[in-house]
Amino acid sequence: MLLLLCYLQYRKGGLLKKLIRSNSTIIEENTQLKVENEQLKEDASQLSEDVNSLCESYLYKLAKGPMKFGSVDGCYERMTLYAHSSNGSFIPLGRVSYNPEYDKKGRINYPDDQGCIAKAWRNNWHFSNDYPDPETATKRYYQRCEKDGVPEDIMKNVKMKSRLYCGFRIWDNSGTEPLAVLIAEATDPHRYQEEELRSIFQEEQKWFMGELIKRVKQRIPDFKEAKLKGF
Amino acid sequence: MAELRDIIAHILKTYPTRYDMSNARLTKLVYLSDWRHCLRTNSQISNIKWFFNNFGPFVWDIKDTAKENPHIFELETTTNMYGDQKTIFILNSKDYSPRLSEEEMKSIDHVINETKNLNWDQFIRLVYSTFPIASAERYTYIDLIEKAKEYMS
Repeated sequence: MLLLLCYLQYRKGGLLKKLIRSNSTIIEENTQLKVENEQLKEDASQLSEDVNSLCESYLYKLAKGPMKFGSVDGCYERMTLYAHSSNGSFIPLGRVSYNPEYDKKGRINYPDDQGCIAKAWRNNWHFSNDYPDPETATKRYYQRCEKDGVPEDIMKNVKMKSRLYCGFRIWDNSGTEPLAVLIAEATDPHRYQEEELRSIFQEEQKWFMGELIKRVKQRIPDFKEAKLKGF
Repeated sequence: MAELRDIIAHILKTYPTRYDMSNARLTKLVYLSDWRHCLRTNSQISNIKWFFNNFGPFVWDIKDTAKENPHIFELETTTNMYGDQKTIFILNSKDYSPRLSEEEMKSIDHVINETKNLNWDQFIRLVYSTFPIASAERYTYIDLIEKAKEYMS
């Protein structure tokens, strides 16, 4: 009896050792797989690590296609995709204009309570083209911008003084989380009709933009975090 | 200002070894070190003239320096599962002692400490959240000292 008990105890111990060993092997393999997964992510992202490049490729397609940028003499157009960040600002993810001066990045973030970005974000859709000529009616132009909540001192530093602004909110594809805003603008107030833009930015485009932003979400810059980390 | 080979050697000596040190990762670590040092001392550690392209802050100097110093570094070229060539940096000479000032070492060690636990997405996000990259135009040289002044003002 004693011998049998000893034998069973011995078997139990062996089994336990085996289990511990296989558990630690699984943990080790899991860690190794995690590292390999990270390496693969790194390898895969070499061509697409820049969120701006990805978003701008899409915006260029829109500009060249349905938006027909550069097809009206004397008028410049621009599109900017802004992601909404949790700290209450918009971060530009991509900007396209055929005018190199207007194509530049601008500020690194924008408040979410100013201008047509705020209006599009709040109301889902925004269109306005009643801006006076900034060359001949400069004061009235700034007054009109102030009505949108953009102070004159800010507007003075904005290179592209547009006379048409259109924007809309982009949701995630489950329709539960607002993610971003797309703003289209033009220096000619009659460059686009509101209905024309509504038809260009149909559900299909919005769906694609929602999908695009969802995919780059992990890479959207977080300036607050960078500052906290000492950068 | 330090020699680039000493910056690379210090990173390779100190960075946790669980990840292969690719050119992409190493270049960005040197960039972050230069940026951190600019914020602290208004000067870069390396004399790299940083260029912003599709890969973020990108220069060939790091790979070139490693090639020029085979007694310190080994470059291992492999093909990843996407069929692309990938270069891994290995410190050949474990006894090599990088010549860096205490302040330079502090900046690099700060970068290592802040990034060693980040996954690749988080690491890339941090690089792209730094002011020089967020504010510079792509395909231009970045003056980190000027950017630091602008950022601090």
